[in-house]
Amino acid sequence: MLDPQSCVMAAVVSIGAFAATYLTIQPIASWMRNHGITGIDIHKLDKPKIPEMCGLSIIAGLAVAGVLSSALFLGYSREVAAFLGTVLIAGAIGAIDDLRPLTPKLKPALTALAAAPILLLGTYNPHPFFPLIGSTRLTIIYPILILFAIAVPANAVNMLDVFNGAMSGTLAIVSLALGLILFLSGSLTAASLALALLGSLVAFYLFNRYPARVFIGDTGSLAVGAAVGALAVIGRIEAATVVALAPYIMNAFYGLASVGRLYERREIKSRPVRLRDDGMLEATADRNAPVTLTRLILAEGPLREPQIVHMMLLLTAVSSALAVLTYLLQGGL
Amino acid sequence: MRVIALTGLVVFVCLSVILGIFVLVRVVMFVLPSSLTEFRIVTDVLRVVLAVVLAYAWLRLWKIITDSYFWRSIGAVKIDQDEP
Repeated sequence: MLDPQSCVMAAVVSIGAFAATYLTIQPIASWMRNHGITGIDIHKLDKPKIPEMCGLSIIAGLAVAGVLSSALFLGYSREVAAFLGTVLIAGAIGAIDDLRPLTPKLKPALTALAAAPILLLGTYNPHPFFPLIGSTRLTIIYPILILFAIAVPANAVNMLDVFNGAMSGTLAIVSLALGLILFLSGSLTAASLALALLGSLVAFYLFNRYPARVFIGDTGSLAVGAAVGALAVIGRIEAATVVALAPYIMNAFYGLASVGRLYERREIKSRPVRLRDDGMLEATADRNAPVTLTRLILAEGPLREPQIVHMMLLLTAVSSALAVLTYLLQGGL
Repeated sequence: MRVIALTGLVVFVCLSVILGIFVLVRVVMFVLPSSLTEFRIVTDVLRVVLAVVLAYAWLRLWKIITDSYFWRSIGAVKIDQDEP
């Protein structure tokens, strides 16, 4: 299963993605700053301006990984083409949203379009595996579910991108778990793509962790979320991916259930979290504010931003471990 | 306590996802009599309705548990802060 060539391919694409992201992030950040594309870090007392849309470096990293895997190992691969196509379309929608904000309903609808490469290239199998059940036939409904498989993680990831390093750190853990599951399942191409995502996210985390020097923007968060969804479909690990993304699903569901509709953070008047004068963050007791994952973490008292992120990393590590267990439950070994 | 409570919530979410999929796929999708071709449309509609009802019930339960934890915890924090 883990033959030497697969290990070499995984290492090469992962290192290639890391290097490409690491090397492109500073030029992109400088360009964004020089062109006034910045966002305010609202969880700091001095409210610094940080370059936005730096998630472009992650897309660059994944593109390099795709080219490397095709040029050196696989030749033309439909899986790699579908994965990169999905990431590029989601990234383009994110870029539009960064420059000219989309409405809360239009954004998820457009993100579903990123599933087009997977559908057009036919890189899916309508017989997904489920834990305790095994293979299930969903011939007619599965292509429709793929639209949700891309749009839901993309937007759920976008919703949790609220603290320095939270999104890049937690998704790096998820990518590692998915890479391991895909290697165990023998989906070597998808496993390499998962490890490429890991390489890009680790490189990005070095700049995005507290105190952040770059913001990923919707360009990056939608692209990365769509990439995880694409891995789930291409690698046939749908159930394990849902479990690994549990903190994201919790956050998205809590927010939607509290507000009662799709919403954008900027349109919420009642803030779920408040920055105190001592730099700590505390949950507000406002009943109109959405009960997000952050608010749940802060329910038992105020914390500093890095402590909140550490809690998110811990929860994601638990859900990722459960994802591996889920794979084993569905008869993975 | 914060770590235990939140980890418990994540485990609950993960287990309920697995169990939810099991119920939806095994019970709703397969137990209903799809072999009766004359009732095919009725059974298909019934499956979708039952799946939606189950999913809604699961989401409601999930929200009740979360709300209960959140408001109880934040209430306790406020009381602690108010005490001299």
